[in-house]
Formats: sequence, structure tokens, C-alpha cells
Amino acid sequence: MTKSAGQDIPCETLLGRAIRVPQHVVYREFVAETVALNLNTGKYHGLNPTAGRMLETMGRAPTMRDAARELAAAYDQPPEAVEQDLCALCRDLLTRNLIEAREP
Amino acid sequence: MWRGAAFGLQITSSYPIVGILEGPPPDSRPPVTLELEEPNRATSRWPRKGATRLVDERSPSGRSEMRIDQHDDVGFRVWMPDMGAHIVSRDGSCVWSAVSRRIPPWRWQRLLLGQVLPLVSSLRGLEVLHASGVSIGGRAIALIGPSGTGKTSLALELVRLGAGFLSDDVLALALRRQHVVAQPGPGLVSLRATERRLGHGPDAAVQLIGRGEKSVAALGPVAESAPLAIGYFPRRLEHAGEVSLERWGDPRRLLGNTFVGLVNTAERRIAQLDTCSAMSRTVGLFDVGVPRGVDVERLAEVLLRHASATIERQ
Repeated sequence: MTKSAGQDIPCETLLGRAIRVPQHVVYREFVAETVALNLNTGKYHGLNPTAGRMLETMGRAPTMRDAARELAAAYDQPPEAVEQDLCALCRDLLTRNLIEAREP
Repeated sequence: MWRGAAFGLQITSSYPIVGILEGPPPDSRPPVTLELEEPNRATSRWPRKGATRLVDERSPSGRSEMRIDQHDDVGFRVWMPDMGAHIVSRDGSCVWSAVSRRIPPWRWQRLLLGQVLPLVSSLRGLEVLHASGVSIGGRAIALIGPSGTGKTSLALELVRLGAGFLSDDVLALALRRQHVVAQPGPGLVSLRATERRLGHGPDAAVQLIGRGEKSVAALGPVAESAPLAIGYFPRRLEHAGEVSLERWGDPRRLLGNTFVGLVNTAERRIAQLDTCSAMSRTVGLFDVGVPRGVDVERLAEVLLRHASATIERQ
């Protein structure tokens, strides 16, 4: 299993990875957003409801691609579009050390 | 030993606490034991080295007004001039207080009730808000905001209109199965000079028990703990007009109104996040715009009407 900063990983590769929320990150739903707390840094991060749902789905799906499929069905969107959005979110969260991308 | 309850804690103490009725709490709450010690004994509890100064408040002249230190092995030490030194164990289960005998209990216990027990409450797993609390129809209302925003006056006015009193300036919240329950504090309020009129005359709303820069007044028995239904965040406006109420749910405002920011353990941060998350989903949170010219009596009437209607709908 490997971790990656994310920015240098092509989307196609990211889609084959399993996303996990590390132990030092907790997130909770609020009415209008999801708040993620990095316990190591003490910093809070806000995610809009869509990003919050994406994070929750990514965290339990076997791979990013599986998460994209589930979200595409839920939002009635083409899977390709969701995959691009998911990759963008994933890179952002990796940069902020809020998730880890591993080999499945 | 004296026993009582406040801030969601079961308190067992070697001395009575002003403003808290003696008696066993009705349900299981995190316990804390309070001991009064001779200054020499208390001094020997606190290590000479290894502590970090977390708070050092000073007057404009440079005089130290409050210090809070933390030591990883021992806990916290809270000190104010003429209010003694209070050592809180790391887990909040014990407090040892060293106070000069010449200081009356109502004075030095202001520090105990205003800072030390809220710190204990936070260490014991409750979330402590910078808020006053009242109860209406078995539900709690939080008046949230920093010092100087009129929370005490507003709470007293709501009590005069029939609300039950929960707490002044510090409101402890317990999370019970995703519902937030407000815990009563001591039946005391701190009054500024302009508010002392509330303690005078045969119809006095409160009984003054001590005078100082801020006076301390007793209200009598406090309300029972109650599910938190509403949080009001009053703020003064420059323009004239009517009181406005607008829903808000910004998590930053909830997280930013914590009373005890000193405890930065992972457990405490997660507990705070859990409680604030539950609040955002189960509590009606309202920004209250208070225009110029609206006095506290008028504001209390508006909020009482709004709260009663909101609680009825819930």
C-alpha cells in the first residue's frame, strides 16, 4: 500500500485507488456543510454538502471508481463527469492531508 | 462531605459551594472531588518546572489578573489574585484549592465557578459554551456570545418573565444519543454596576450576596437540565428598528463560542465536534439583530414569544 500527495497522480490511476480517512482526521456533518478536523494540526476544513457526501462515499467504497459509479447513480449524472469531479476533490483532500490513497 | 451538582458534574466537596443546592444529583454524571488545602500543601503539588503558561491576563498597568498553567503530568493550575490557586488533575476528577482564610467564600468561589469547574466539565467530556441559559416549557434556551453582549441582563429579564434559570455566562452541554442536553450551573449571576439595581427593593429579582468590581447575586433554585431547543446569538446594530431573527448554522460560530479553549486533546476536540454537529442538526440557531433603542425588556419579550412558538412547533 502506498500513500501519495495526489497532485502528480493521473486521474485514471487515482480512480483505481482506495481512499481512506486516516485516524488523525475526523469529520462530522453539520446542516450546511461537513467539517473535517485534522487532529495533528488542529485545523478545521469545511466541505460543502456535495463534497461531504463524496468524501463519505469514497471512504467506504472499495475504489474511487466504485465511488464514482455510486455517486453517478445517486445524482443521475454521467459517470465520466463524476469521475473528474471526484479526482479534483481527491487531489484537494490529499494536499490537505485529509485522506490517503492506497492500492486496493 | 458536601454534595451537589452543577455544569453536568457530580460534586463531592470538603466545603459548601455558594450558589449550589446541597443534595445528590438525580442521575449519573461525571464526578469531581474538591478539596481545600493549606497553601503550603497546594504549592508542593505543583512542580517547579515543566509547566506551560496557557493564559496570562494582565491589567493595563501590567498587574497579573489571571494565570492558567498546564503541566503534562499534573494537570492545570488556575490562579487569580485574592481568589487563590486551584489545581485541577489531568482528567478533571480532582481539584485542590489553596485560599487565604481571610477571603470570603463568595469571592474566591467566583474563580471556582467561573473558570475552574467549567474547565473540569470540559475535561470530563462535556462541551462548555460561552452562553447564559434559561429554560421554557422544559426546553433550554442558550444566549450565546462573548462577555459584554448582555447575556446576563437578558437571562434575568427572561427569568422575570417566567423562564427558569439555568446558568450565567457558562453553559455546559452533554450529548445524549445525538441530543444536546443543557446542564444547570450555580444559581448565581455576576452583575455590573449598572445591573445592581436588580438586587434592590422588595421586588428584587436577585439577592446580592457580595459586592466587588462585579457583584454576585443569587437567584434561588435553578431549573433542571433540559434538552437544548434554541440558541440565540444577539448582536447590537447601529440602526434603529425592530428586533430581527435569522437562522444560522455556520459551524465556525458554534466552534468559536467554546468557553474552554485550553483543553486541546483529541478526545476533547472530537467531543466538541460531535456536540456542535448535533446542535446544528437538532437546535434552532438564530442570529438576533438588536437595533439601537431596543431595551432588554423589549428584547426579552420578543425572544420569549419566539421561543415559545418555536418550542411548541418542535
